[in-house]
Amino acid sequence: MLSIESISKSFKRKKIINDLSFTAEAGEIVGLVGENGAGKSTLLNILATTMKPTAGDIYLNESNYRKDIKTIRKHIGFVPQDIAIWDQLTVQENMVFFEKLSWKNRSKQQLQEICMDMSLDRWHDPVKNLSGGMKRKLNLAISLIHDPTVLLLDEPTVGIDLKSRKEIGSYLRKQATENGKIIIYTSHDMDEIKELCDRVITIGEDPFYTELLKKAGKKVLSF
Amino acid sequence: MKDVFITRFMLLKKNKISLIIWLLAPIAVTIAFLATANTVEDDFTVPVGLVLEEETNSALELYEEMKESPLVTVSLLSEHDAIRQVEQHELDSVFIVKQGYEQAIESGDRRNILESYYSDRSFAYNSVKEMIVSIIQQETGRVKAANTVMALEKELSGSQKWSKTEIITKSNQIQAEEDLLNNEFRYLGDKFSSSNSGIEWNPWMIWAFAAMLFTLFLFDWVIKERNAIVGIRFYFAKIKFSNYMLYSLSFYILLLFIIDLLTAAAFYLLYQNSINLITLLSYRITICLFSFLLVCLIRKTYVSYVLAIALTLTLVVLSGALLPFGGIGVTKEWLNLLNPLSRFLSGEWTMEWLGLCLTGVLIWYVWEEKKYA
Repeated sequence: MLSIESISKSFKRKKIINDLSFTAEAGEIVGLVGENGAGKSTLLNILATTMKPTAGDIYLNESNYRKDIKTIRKHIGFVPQDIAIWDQLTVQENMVFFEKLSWKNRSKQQLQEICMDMSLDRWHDPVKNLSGGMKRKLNLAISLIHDPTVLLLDEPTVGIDLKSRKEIGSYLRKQATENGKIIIYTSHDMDEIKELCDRVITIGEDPFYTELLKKAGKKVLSF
Repeated sequence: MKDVFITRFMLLKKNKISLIIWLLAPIAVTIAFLATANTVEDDFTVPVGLVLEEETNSALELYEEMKESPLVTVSLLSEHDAIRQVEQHELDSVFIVKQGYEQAIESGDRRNILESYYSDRSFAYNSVKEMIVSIIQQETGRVKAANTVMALEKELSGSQKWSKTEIITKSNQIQAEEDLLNNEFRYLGDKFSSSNSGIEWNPWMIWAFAAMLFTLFLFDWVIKERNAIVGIRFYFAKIKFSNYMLYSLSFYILLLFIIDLLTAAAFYLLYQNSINLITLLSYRITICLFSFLLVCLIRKTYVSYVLAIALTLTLVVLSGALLPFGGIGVTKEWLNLLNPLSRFLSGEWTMEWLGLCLTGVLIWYVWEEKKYA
């Protein structure tokens, strides 16, 4: 279980996140929505340990984010909004590259299976020749090499076609239900959020997203 | 470390052409520079013709003395050929040693013993003429001295134990032994003779400048990887970004030192020039650490290239290769301290710079650790 307890984040004097608390259970997909600049990416970065909160505590199962950062990082898979892969390498080389730096040893066959689960079949193709959708899939696949408990995705489907979006969506659902992963997901696509997420957290002062999602029958928590 | 080396190798494989260029550039530049310098030096000798109407010892000695000069190329020719070649501007000038040359030298007569031809394009005629005159003057002076010694010997001891040839031979021997211009001097630890055999280039000096420049070029990987978005993945990797960079740095030092060892072998075979391998290793580590620290401060690769060229030129100037510093009041010791190349060329460890660079890397490491904590 991921437990966020009264976290706040300020940049200089500007408060971006104010007293935010929620929990996410294993097997749950939680959506994060809000207008641009509301603090979605900041919250995701705090959960990913790449940023520290100004106040509050976060626990992953029994581990405290402040005290056990090294252990926490072993359990986090972060999919950044910008595609973080080596353009000059092939899909296979990218997977092998990050496997070498990963906490978990994986065989080439296992790495290929991760890609195939997402219909990323161009194993030997250089990344620079791949479509945007394929690159996004690889971006996600690399984050799964070390089999993380928590998967944090910052707009993972931005700028890709509907087919790839559906493939990524069904893969994430499978990861949550079959492998019990906690998935926290940001997106501006409300249809995707409504379809994929078990629960939605809206951030920001604008009630637009909260009302929209409530009308669609979603469980919404607003901050 | 093995995993880092594997990943590093994967990235390098994709840039193998540029990698090979930067790795081999220092040795290639050095060999090309020395070959060019030797060719240019050969091209700058003045072609001079010499005609010997008599083949006496004195005439042949003049020919030998002229041949020893690095500034002229002497061709022994017939009068007809020599004059034709001057007319066709193939020779700068021609000197004819007249019949009776040796006899004139013996008698101390320096008039009308040579005849010369030159054209309106003989730019070096006067200089060559002066050189020949000075050789003849030296010879006549030696004969005159021998005659004086013999006269004195006869007058003082009443006997004649020394022949003129013996006295001249002894005079030549003393000149060769005590000639200051032929003594061995040391410049930046490299011993070379100051005899008139042309400019002696130290291949390691050229290599040191080239290695500095191309190592800085090669280290653009630091900028590219620090700017790369993949950097974020190191938060969740078993190897921290700072350690990854340090292991990669070690990989580059190892790779470059292997090339340096091959360079040392090549220089030994080509120029019979050897180097202390510990000195070479300390220089290699120093320039790699320095390049690493420098590019860590830069965000754009083109800035690093410009800075690399500017820095290398500064070192060339500091080394006195372009500007002599004697007259501008800057002490050589102070410049040598600033210049990491001077210690390397003196065959010593680059201790101060190595220490400074290691401290710099340690500070960088602590700073990076804080950033990722």
